[in-house]
Amino acid sequence: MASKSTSLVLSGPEFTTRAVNFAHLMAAPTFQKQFFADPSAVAAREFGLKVTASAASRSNAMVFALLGDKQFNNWAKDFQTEIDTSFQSIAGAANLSDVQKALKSKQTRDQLVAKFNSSVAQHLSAETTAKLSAINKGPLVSEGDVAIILLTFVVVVVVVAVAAGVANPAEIVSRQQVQLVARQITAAQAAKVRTSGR
Amino acid sequence: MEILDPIPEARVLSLLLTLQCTAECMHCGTNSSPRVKSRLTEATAARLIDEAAQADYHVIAFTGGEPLLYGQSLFDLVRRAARYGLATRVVSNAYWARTDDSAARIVGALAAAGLKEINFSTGDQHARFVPMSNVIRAARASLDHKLKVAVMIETVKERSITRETFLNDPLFVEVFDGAEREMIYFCESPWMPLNPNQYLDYPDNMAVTADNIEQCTGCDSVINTTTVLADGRVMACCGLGTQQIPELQLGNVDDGSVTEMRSRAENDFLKRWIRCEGPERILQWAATKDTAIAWEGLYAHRCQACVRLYSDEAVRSVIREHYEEKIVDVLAAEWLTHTYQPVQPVEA
Repeated sequence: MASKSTSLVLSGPEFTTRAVNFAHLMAAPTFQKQFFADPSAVAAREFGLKVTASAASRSNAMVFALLGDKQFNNWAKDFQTEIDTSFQSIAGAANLSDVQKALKSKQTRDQLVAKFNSSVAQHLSAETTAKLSAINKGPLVSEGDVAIILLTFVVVVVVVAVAAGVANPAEIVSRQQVQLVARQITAAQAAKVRTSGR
Repeated sequence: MEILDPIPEARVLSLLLTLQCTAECMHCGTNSSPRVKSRLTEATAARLIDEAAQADYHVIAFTGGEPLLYGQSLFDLVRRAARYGLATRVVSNAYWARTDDSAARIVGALAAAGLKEINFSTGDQHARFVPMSNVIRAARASLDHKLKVAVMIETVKERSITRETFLNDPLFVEVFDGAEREMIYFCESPWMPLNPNQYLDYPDNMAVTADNIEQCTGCDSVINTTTVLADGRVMACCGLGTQQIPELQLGNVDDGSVTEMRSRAENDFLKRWIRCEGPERILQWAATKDTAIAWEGLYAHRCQACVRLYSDEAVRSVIREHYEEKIVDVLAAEWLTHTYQPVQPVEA
């Protein structure tokens, strides 16, 4: 490695001014919609930034849409309640090690996925739900299905992330987890995720 | 609060009261040892706690070095923080728990001062200086006083002390019943060298690669934890190796208040990017711009990935040249995490 150059602190007005302006503009719902519909264009127009349509921009747009979706919020709340009431080994675990242990049980994982499938039934078409029932685990980020965001919740976040000690079982469904999952979605998958629009 | 509501920003003040320690572990993340005598004055620590309370901090962590070497002043500072209603945490190696009586006496005094949580650092390196039995006795006394207990275990591929070692230790089995064992949180955390060019072997799947990077979250320490070293330097995080990263040093305790120090950290886009995505994803991103940047399989501890990010000129160059493309993403992610209040239609 070469010797270090000048300090790597990115605190010039090119950032701080934009940060203040961004917070101000985002207070308006109309601007929020414009921004998430086309972050690259808004970044260029309002902030003079050249931004390609990166995966992160897509993930933010997806999170924005999901958090504003009443049906998604209801699903998340119901699913969390289901876990709390039906999976005592997870919800009642005193520590993450015990959560990991519980999730190592195929029976628990299968039950969790079944519960998940039933909880998304109202959010997805019957055909999609039927497809999901056949899937128990795996890297579902490779599945090109409209259900991908919801599916990844359970298999990537709940089963993998919690089992790996990354996620807090008390916060299985939270804004940060939604963002964590959304960052893994490919462009093709993101295009197929839909919300109820309510 | 609903599960998908905005998440409040975390604010932790971590005070490394002394860098003196009874142990001298290889790769100690704070360069502590018995020979280091630097010590934060009690008056300064008290002032920082007062400022943190006024600035809506939630937790005061007392660490080091070995904070119990700080003497009576530690108990006074815990009491001061508790009076504000702040959560308090002590991080210790349990050297003082040589007997049941000494463990009960020290923990009892900490609990009486208002302590809520105690973390014990252990593992193969620590055990060269402090036996596991001390940690077990200290954990026993801590549960007796209803403290939250965490045991942090150094982890490399070849090691003798693990969570299982504790669970099967005869003394552990003797002093804890089944329910009590579940009340102790064990964290097997990667042990890292401070040199970014030195790598240790870790258990399978612990080092970050393209296959597991999706599990990497943002860094919950940078900006959120304001750390004050025993010599008065203020750091932007509580991470290991911060002393060798000038950019993470915000100034000296005499240069400004806790709030001012936090503002300095918040005004740096890179720190906010690290908080949002974590150093591993930034390394991965940098490697897409400069394919000579190797990162896969090298870092199990994210602080070592962060040391690499700040010390490798190739990574620094990519960040400096291309960071503007990430600004709106990071600002948008922060806004979605902490601010966005969706307007939901009223039910018909």
